[in-house]
Amino acid sequence: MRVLPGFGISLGITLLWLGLLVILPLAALAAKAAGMGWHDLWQVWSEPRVIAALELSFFTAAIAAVANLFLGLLIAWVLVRYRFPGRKLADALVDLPFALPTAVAGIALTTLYAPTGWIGEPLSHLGIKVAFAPLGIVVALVFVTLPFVVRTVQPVLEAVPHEVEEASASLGASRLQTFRRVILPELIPALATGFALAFARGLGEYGSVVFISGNLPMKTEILPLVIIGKLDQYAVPAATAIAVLMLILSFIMLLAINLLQRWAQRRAVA
Amino acid sequence: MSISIDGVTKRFGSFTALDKLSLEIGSGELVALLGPSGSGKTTLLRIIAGLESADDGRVLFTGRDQTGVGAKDRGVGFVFQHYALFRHMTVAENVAFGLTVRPKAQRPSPAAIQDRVTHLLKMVQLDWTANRLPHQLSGGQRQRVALARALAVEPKVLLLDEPFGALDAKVRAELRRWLRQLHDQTGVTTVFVTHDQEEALEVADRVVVINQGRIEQAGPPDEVYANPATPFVHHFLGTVNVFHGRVHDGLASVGEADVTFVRPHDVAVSRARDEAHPIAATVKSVAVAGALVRFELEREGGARVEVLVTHQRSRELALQAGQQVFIGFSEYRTYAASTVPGAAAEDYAI
Repeated sequence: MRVLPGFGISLGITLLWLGLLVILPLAALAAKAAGMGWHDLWQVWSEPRVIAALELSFFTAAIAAVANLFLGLLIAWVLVRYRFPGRKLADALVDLPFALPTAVAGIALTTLYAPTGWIGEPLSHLGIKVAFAPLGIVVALVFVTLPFVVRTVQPVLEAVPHEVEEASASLGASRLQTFRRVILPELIPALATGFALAFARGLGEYGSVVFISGNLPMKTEILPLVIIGKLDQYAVPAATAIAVLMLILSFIMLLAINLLQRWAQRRAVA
Repeated sequence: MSISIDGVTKRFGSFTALDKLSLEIGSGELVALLGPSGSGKTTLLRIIAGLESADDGRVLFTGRDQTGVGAKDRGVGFVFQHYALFRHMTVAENVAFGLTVRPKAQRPSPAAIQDRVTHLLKMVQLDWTANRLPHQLSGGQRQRVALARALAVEPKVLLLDEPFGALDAKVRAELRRWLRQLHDQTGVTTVFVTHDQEEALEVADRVVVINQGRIEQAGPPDEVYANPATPFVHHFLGTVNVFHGRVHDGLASVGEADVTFVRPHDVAVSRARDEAHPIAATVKSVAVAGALVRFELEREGGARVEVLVTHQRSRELALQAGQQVFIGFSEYRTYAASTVPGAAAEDYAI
């Protein structure tokens, strides 16, 4: 195979960059944790406060990612398929959660959803508590991870040729059948990628969540906050242990989603 | 099933794609809609299919008005230029699609669907590809799968939009013959759109020449070729030499009010001037064009004339560039200049 010119240098830069920016800090983390020994690691991991935070983080990130799976698909669909005044503006708004400092988002959402806030007050009459409850964390995560699914699905949806829909209709399929059997299968890899990105981001999100969650240990304390807490007490090894736990779990999850995606593709081929 | 197109008009903004167009297509007919790009032929096909709606006028299937009936319920098979196969489905799943989306009550059993798919894939000679994905097939094979898919729902009408337009010349010629055979086997009313006059003349029972949203002429291939109703049809169905003027007794006379069209194979060439070959010209080039030989001649004043002769005739003449010859016309048609749009760019004054 003939290699394009510049292969050596561009590959070199890629590896150096990934090594410096991604692998080095993570390796340092792992090395630090490795010095602790299994017993100490396990002790930190099995602390009730850590387990509660872990469950909360996974649970809220998963719910937020699922919510954005549907919401993101809907938004991408509207942006691609319909022409309406202000479409360009709506399209630009989708990226705003990326650009906004997460702390700002957290404070804004807290103000809105606090029991005295514009939305929080009417909801509190209905007995629904958003801010300072797990639901608040979900709201913050939905906001922060909104762009992922939209931005992964949008280009794929744009690339689905209009003709295949017409072919489907001329063969007697209803709109719903066309969506379910012709369009959706084309979007599944993009949806899975968007979901994985949103989930991973949600798991690690800190800035927006700390304001809205209330940070009650065992109740609304997320895992990144436990790390910060440990650092505040100068318990660096414990913080490292939790960080490694998160790293391992994130890695396992991303791997699982990748495998799932490959399995889905192979099943479509078979 | 017969199709009646009754005064159909379609506009896109200020552009009129179809202008009160009416056409009758008989049951079991194989009709070609022939025209240049932008003539409205594809729009007409899409309106018949229900993929597009007419601004005015009606489409009737065996007398029943189809206005307001969507593509889903018209019972037409539509074949797209770029196949439009479902790329995540196997060939067999593609062909079965139309049957599997039917409401439960009308849906054949899985075994019956399987049988039908196998039968159709055999008919298009692709039964060995059943478990492949579309991207593993060649263009010609994909188009045959698309045809099988369209036929699976037993359409009353088969519509094909430039079906062979994306294929190379050899596959195209093969599929043409094959489409003709298929139509003779199934007898489904078939309408196909093409801008290739050869394709239209070779395959269709009837050729409908469309230009600027109107029908220029409709008739059997030999009829439209031999007796073009308008200069446009004459020009569109093959190459013509265009002369300003009228021909009298084999002699050309100047007359700005008339335009004479002569096909390259209707130009007679001789090395000596006589009654049948009155016009002098110089040979510019001689080139083999497949079964025939093409001469490029130049008349006094620079007007070029294209001539096609048999290889035998070419050997008899033994022409070389630079030689003087004399030409006459065995067949020609004269039109009033006012009826010839845009001929000026390439015409030759007599």
